[in-house]
Amino acid sequence: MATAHAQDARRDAPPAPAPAPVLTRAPELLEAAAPTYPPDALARKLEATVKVEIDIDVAGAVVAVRVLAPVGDGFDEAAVAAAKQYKFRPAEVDGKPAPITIETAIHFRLETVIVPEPAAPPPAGPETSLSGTVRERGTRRKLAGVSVGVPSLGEETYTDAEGRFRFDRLPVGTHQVVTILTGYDRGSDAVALTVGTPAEITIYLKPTLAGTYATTVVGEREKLEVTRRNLERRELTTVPGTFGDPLRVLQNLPGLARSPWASGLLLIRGSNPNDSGVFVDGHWIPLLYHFLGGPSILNPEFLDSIDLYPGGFPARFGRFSGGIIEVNTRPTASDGFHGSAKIDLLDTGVYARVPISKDITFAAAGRRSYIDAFLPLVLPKPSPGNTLVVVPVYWDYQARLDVALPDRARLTLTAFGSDDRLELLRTNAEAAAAFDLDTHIGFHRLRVGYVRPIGPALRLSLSQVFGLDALRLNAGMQTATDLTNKSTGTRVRVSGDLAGGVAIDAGLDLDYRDTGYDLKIANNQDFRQLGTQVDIPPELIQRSIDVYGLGAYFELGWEVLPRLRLIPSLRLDGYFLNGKGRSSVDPRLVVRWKVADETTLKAYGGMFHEPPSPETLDNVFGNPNLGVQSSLHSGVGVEQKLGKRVSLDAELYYNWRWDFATFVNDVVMRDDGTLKRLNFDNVSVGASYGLEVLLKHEVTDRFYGWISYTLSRSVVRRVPDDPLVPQPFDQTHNFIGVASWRFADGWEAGLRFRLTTGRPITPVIGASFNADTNAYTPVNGVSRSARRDTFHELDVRIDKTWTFDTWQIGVYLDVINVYNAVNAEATQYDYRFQQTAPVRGVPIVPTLGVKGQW
Amino acid sequence: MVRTYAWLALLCACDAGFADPNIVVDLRVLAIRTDPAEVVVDFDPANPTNVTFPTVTVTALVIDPAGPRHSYRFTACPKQRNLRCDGEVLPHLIFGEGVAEAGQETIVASLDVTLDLLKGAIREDPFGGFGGVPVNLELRVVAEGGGESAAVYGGKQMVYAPRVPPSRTPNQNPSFQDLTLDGEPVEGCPVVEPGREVKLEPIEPAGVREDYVVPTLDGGQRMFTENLRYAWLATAGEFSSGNTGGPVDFFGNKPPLWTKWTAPDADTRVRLWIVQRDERGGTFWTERCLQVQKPPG
Repeated sequence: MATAHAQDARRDAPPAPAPAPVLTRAPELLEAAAPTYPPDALARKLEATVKVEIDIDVAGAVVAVRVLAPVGDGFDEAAVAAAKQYKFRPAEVDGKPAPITIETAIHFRLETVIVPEPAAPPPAGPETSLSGTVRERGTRRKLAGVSVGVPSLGEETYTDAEGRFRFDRLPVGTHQVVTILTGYDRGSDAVALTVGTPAEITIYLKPTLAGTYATTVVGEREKLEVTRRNLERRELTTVPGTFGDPLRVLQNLPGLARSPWASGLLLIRGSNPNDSGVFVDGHWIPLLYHFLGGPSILNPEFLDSIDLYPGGFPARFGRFSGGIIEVNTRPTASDGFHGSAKIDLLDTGVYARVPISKDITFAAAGRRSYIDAFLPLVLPKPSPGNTLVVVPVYWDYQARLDVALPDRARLTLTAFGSDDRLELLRTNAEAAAAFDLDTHIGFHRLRVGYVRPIGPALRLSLSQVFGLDALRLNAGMQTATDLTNKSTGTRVRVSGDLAGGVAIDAGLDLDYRDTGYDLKIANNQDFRQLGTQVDIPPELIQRSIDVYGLGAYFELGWEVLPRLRLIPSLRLDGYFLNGKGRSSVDPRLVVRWKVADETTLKAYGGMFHEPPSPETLDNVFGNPNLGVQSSLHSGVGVEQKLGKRVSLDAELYYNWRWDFATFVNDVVMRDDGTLKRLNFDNVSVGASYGLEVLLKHEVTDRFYGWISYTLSRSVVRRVPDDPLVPQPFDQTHNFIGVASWRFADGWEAGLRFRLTTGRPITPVIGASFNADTNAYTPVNGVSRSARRDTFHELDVRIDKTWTFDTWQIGVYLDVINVYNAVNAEATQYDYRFQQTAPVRGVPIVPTLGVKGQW
Repeated sequence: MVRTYAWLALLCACDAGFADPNIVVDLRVLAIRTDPAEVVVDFDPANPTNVTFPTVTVTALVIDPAGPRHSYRFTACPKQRNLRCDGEVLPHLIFGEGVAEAGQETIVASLDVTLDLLKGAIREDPFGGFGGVPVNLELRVVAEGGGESAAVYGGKQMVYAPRVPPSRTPNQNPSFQDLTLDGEPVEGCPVVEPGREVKLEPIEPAGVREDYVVPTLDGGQRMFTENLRYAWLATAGEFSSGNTGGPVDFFGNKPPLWTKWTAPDADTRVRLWIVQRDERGGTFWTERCLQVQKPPG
């Protein structure tokens, strides 16, 4: 007898559970309607498999179903109709319900039902139970939805969310247990069951393409901003030329100009590095990278997400006018003791994550450099007079405690910090006596965060941070700087969805910073130095500057028409800077119009304000009357999906900046007729405009990559009488291509190629001998009217990972500048500016590293 | 970490094979001196009329081992960052022009500052002449018949200062007469073996470092003592340091005045110039010679 039925693939082969730590619970299918077999297809005895992509909302409802590869004959429609009837238990990200997109296949099969022979009764005899856990090989992560079967007995079950399975009554003896999960090699283990002893086993499944990291499934976050560029964990740790440092990967995205000597400066859309902010868990930090272009100050394992907002950033970020980098630390939720350790030529780091109880989990990480220890062994013997070598010595730490509270609330305690100092390597005893360099910079942050849901779709976030920054730059007897920032920051935020497709993000933020500094300095502020360097006895200056900032913001995501979303926002800021108040009002509007399923148009415009830096407000060395600095961001763009895995994001932008504080050599008259140096004034203006394109292939099991291209121009007028000239880091063209392939047996290889217009320079067209200083003074041509040579560099990275049942170990070779391009970053002149020689950039640098995780 | 490597690369890239600035091999302006070194008179920079400024004698030391005749031109103009008075700089005043005969190594001109020039200098000065009006002096020298590409330029700042505070006196050019070679006074043209390193040290006369006063922006005054710097130049050999003396260094060390000179490997007569400068434009120079010669036998 022939009959037909359609089979939901989810029941036979549940979807690959999300292995990313961010996904704390995979969606679970609760209800499924059997698909209706298309009558024509049934009549023609056709079979098919339809692959679909299902969008699941925070309540577990299916909101959209897309056929990934249409097969026709009515199967596509039938599959969509069936999938729309599914009901899920919602996925959870960071312990809370979150929207997610999954893929599955719906099979339509014609089956011939054969009436079986009566089954032989099971052999009488003793029975026992078999239970166990299925984990991923290498990471020991528990796997849900694994099919566990004993074919010889016709028994089958699936693992639950904890990776557990159980058979209650199995006859004693040896049985073959087969485990099947999409994305993993089929498992087959012989299990011996004995009388009276329940069996408990652990089965490790090997990912089909094991690598350093598994592919992350990330739920699509609601977009309230016009442009947010984010990358997944695998992309962030295997990009060539970045040494596996996620925060360095950001510099390969549109919007960031190449920083010279890989220094890591945040050169976002033509703004000065200080005008862009880095926020960790919602609070600003002063330092993203260790000294001298070192790695970022956060252990990669501690990172959860990194988002780059090159412009038009959300209203919750204030007091910056350039761009924003938002870093969120990783929840510590863990199914056991996990960790990693990494070692390479420059530093070593460890990370550990452990559950303390059912509701409390903890993670900690640390890193320490040791370049100061080995560098003297490889440095060439210095020539006479060339005895001073400065190397960075750094360490950092991160710790986070997560406490799950009733009503899905969560308390988080995070501490992190970094410390850098410069170590003088002296190989010449004579020189050692002459130098006394004490340079140190460090910061520490302690954050307490509390998050709880308000109703079904809103979230309340509270956080308080305490910070301490220290900067010390002491050199000999003439100069010393000891700067201390004591800061606190408070955030109150309500965000989420309201009824009717309206999303809100509103809150308050308060920052307070007390900048205290002790300076030993040759103070020449009170007189005019007309000649060359005067012997001015250094004097000790102690002072402090208080800076308060209070901001309130409200942002609305409003779907005014189907597919048309308006996101108006308003941010109000009050500042109390060195005893004087200022304020700013920042209205902004973002429009997103989804003109088709694959196409979204976007436009934005808005105001951004930024207070001048504290040191420019000093009563003596700065100008306490400086006002806030302003900028206008605007742009239009398109987001286009090009097939299943490829997307295109293109954006035209225009930013205008004015009232920026800049150094001026003017004096002003006091009321009593005496003079005072102005030092700084709000007179600088600038503009940036350009086109940014990101063509990206999403992460798959075997490949990821992107092409980033920026066409831009950034100009600045430092003081009113100056012409508009290119900004120092202006780069007309910036092309970056990244590709990484994963092969069998744990091999992965990647390339990065960069091609960038050289930075603007001012040509030297002559020189004059300065008879007062005995040095030559260059005669410059038109300011920044020439360019350095085009920068080009190819980087290669190869990873090999060995996976064992309970741990992994990997080795990587990261080679920067494979073909050793010169890439001049500066020009060296002879004493009278007649001859030149290039000062080359980073030469070929191979780095070998080892990393293990368990 | 990448940048650490870059710094190391920089460290190794310092020697680009450029010429030694302290060895004179072609046309160079080595020094410019004004007499007086500074003008201090009673005048109001806000209204500099009815003031008589003294004539300033400007003397330049110009060396060209090739020894041709040179055309020269002295120009004064408001202070310029690049020390040039050419092009569009207004007002400017050409106060000396002519031809220096072959072998003539000092060029002299007289400057009588005009009211127009002084007002222009005050106008261009962000301090409006407070503490002194800086005027740029430019010297252009070129071998006779040579084009602009062969011209060399020297520049110097001349200060016309109001007498504020009242105790202010004009800067005097420094001087010294005695020089030692390995601790012995240099007389005549001492003989140095080829390749030998010798220590050269100027002996400063007592009181050559002046104390001086400058007005402060808040109406007060500050006192300083001059530091003196020495530039060492020669036609051959190599100096351990081409510039000695000067202010206390970054680490609080008082820089030594001496330098070491290594003689060339072949017998030759070497001209040696020592230029002494204070930090206020005061300048003095002296020329000595060293005979590089293998010992007999």
